[in-house]
Amino acid sequence: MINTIKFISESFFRLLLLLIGVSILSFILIIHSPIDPVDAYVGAESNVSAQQRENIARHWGLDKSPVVRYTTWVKNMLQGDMGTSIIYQKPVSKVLLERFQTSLILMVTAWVLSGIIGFVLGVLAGSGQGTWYDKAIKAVCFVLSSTPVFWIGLLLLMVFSISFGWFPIGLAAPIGKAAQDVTIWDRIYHLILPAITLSITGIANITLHTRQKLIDVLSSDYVLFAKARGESKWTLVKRHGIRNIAIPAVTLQFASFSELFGGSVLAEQVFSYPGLGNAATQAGLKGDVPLLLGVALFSAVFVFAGNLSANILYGVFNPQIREGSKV
Amino acid sequence: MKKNLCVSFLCMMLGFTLLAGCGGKETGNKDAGAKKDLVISIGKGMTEGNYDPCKGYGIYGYGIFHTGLLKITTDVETDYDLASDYSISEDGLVYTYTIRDDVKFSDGEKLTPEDVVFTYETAKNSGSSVDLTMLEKAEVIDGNKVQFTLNKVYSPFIRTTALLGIVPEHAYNDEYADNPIGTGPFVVKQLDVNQQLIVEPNKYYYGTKSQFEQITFLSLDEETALANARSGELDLVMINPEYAEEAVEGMHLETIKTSDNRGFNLPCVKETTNSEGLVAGNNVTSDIAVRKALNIGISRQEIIDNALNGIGTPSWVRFDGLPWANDEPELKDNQVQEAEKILEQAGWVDTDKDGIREKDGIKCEFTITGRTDDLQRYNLAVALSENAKKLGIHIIAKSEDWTTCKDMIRNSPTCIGTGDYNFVDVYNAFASEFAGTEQTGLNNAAMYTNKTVDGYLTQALSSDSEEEIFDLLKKAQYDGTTGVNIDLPYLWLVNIDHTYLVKDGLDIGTQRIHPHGHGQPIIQNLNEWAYK
Repeated sequence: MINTIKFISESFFRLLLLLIGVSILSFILIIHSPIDPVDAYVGAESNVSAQQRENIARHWGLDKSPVVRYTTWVKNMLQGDMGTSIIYQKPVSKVLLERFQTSLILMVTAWVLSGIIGFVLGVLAGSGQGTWYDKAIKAVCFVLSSTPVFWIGLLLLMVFSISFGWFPIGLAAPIGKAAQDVTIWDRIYHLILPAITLSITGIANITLHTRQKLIDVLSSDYVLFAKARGESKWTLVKRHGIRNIAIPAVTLQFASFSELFGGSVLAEQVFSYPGLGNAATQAGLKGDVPLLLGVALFSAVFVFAGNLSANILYGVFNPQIREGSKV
Repeated sequence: MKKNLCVSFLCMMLGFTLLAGCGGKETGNKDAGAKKDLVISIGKGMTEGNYDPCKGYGIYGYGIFHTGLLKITTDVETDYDLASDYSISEDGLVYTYTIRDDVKFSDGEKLTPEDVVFTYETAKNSGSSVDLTMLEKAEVIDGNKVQFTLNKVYSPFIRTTALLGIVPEHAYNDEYADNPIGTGPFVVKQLDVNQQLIVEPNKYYYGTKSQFEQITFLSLDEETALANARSGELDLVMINPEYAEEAVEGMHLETIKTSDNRGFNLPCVKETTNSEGLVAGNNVTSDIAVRKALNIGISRQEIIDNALNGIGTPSWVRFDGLPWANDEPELKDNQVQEAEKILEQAGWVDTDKDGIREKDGIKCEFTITGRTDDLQRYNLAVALSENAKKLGIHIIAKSEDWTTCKDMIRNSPTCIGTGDYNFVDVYNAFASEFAGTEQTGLNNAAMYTNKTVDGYLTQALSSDSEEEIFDLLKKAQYDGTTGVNIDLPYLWLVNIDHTYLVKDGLDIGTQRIHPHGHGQPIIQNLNEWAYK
C-alpha cells in the first residue's frame, strides 16, 4: 500500500517537473522562432499602419517582456485558464477538447491496429524463422519502417481514394453533409485510411521486436525441453512464447504514444482530418503561442500517461517485476 | 492455430473492403442528382471560423457573409452598397454616409445606422487587421446617417468603408465569429473547423442570389489538392502554379490575372549603420545607374519561365492592373546592350575580368533574400540572380526566414508581394515619411525620397474624390518629368497569376482583378457563379 502511494506521488511529481520543463522550453522556442505573431495575424504584407500594429501587440500582450508573458500564462493556467487561441479566437481548452475527441478515435484505432497486426505478424515471422513468409514479413517491415507517414498517406490516398474510389478523399465526415445526418458509419468510413496510415509505421517496430524476442525464446533451454516432451510448435508458442514476448511489445506499444502523436500531425495533414495534430500545425505556422503551449502540455501528459501505463502493465505481465518492486 | 490467424486477418481485410464498397455507392448517388451544390477547395483559411469583420474578416475584399457601406466594383472603383450616398467635408475630416433603410440582416432584422456605428466602434477596439487608428468617432445623425470624424486627413478611409462589413449590434456576441449574421449573399450552414465550411444563400440578401442551395468549402492540404481534384468530387480547386500543366479529366485550368505582384526593393541611399546596429542602405543599389540597368537589362519573361513555370505576367509597375497604376514612360526590358551602356557611363566597368563590374573599388554585387516559407520567392530571387549575371551584376540569392528578411530589408533587397484594393499602398510604398534609416518594416523599404512625389502623395491623402486621388497617385509615379517610374526604387518582376482547376461548365463570372493572396479572392463574386 505504502509502495503504491509512493509510486503514485513519485509519478505525479515527475509529471509536474515534466510539464514545467516542457512549458518553459516550448515558450523559449516559440519566442525565438522566426514567426512574428502580429504578421501572422494580420498577414505578412498587410497595409496596416505601425500604430495599429502596436494596438494589436498590446491587445494580445505581445508588447510585454517574455518573462512577464510567461508568468501571466502560468498564473492563468493555475486558475484553469489556458488562454485564448489567436487563430481560432476561442479558449484554448475548448479547442483542445474538441480536437482531442477527433484525434483520440484516430489514435486509438491506429494504436490498436498497429499493436494487433504487429504482434500477430511478429509471432508468425518468429515462429517460422527462415521460411518464405518470415522473409516476406521482414522485407515489408523494413520498407515500412523507413517510409515517412505522410508519404504512405499520400500513396494510400492516391490509390484507394482517387484511383479505386473506395475511400473518401479526406475529412472526418462526408462532404457537405449536415452534422446531424452524419452517421457512425460515415465516421468509421472516413477513419479507415488515416488510421491505417497512422498504424503502418508502428507495425514494423512491433513486428520486428516481437519476432526477435520469439526467436530468442524458441532457442532457450526450456523450449528445447518442452520440444523433447513432444509439444507441437503452436503449443510451444502459446505456452512459453506469448507471455515472454509480450513485454517488449507492450513497452514499445505504450512508448509509441509519442510517435503516434507525431505521426498524427502528418496523417491529419494529408487527410484534412481535423484533430490535434492539425491544430498543432496551424498553431505552429501562425505563431499562436497559447494554443501551441496548450498542445505541447497536452501531448506531454499524453506521452507520460503512455509510459506510465507501460510501467504498470509490466507488473501485470511479469510477476518477477511485480515482486521486484516490493523489495 | 495458424489457419485461425490467417482467417481472422482475412476477415478483417474483407470487412474494410465491404465498408469501402458501401461508401463508394454513396458518392455515386450524390453525383447523379441535379447540380444544386458546389464543392470547392481554396486553401485552409476559409474553414477556420473567425468570420467577424470587426476582427478583420473580409477586409481584403472577398468576404461573403457581409457587405459594407460601399463596395468595390469589377473595375476596382467604389460604388454605393449599404450606403445610398456619402459626402466628405471640405477639410477632409468628416465623412457622412446615408444608410439604406430596406436592408435586412440574415436573421430578418433590419439594418440600422446604429449597427454601423457599433461595427466601427467594435472594430476600432478589437486589435485586429482592421486599421481604424484614424477614426476619432462615429455617430448617428438625422436618424438615417452615420457621421465619421477622423483625427487626420486620410482619404483611404473611403476604401475602408468599402471593405469593412457591417455586423448587427443585436446579434453580436462571443459566438458570432463562427456563425455570422450579416447582410451578405451567404450564411454559414455548418462549420467543421479545419475540415469543411458549408454555406447557403442568405434569403434576405438584396443582391444577386446564388443558384446553388449549398456550397461546401473543403480544407485540403495544398500538396494533396491536385490528387483530390482527380477524384472528380470537386468543382473548383486552387492549385499551385507548379502543377498548372497537369491535366485533370473534366476540369480545365483558369488562370486569373492579379495585382499580386512580386519584386525587390532597391535601397536608394548609401550604407549606414543605424542606432540599433542594423545596416541600412546599399552602396550598389543606391546608384541609379544600377537600378536602371537592372530594370531594363533583365528579361522578366525568362525569370517567370524559370521561377514560376511561366505562370505570371511580366510587370515593371507595382500596381499593375489597379486603377491607380501608371506605366508611363514605358519601359522595355531585355535591353542588355542599353543596360551595359548605362553601367559603363556611370563608371561600372569590369577591370579584373571576373565577370563582375567594379567602380571605385566596390564590386557590383549585393545580396537579396527570399522567404524560407515561400518557395516561389526564393525561386524568383535565384532566377533574378542568374538573369543579372549577363549585365555583370553579381546578385547573391539567399533564403532567410521572414523576420530576418525584414531585419535586413533596408540593406539587402527582399522579395516583396503586394496588391491591395486600398490605394494607401501607394503612399506606403513611396512616402518619405517611411524612408528613414532608423525605421523598420516594409513601408518604403527602398528608402526613396522625392519632394515632388511627396507633394502628390500628401495631396492625394486630403482629396475627396477617387478620380482626383487616382490622378494624383499616377502623377506620383510619373508626371511627365519626374516620379517613381524614373527613379526606380524597386525592381518589379511579375504579377503572379492565380491558378484554379474548374469543372467544365462552371462559370465563375467576371472576376475583379485579384489582390495579394492565392485562394480566397476567387469567391469575391461567389453568388454569381453558375453552371451553364
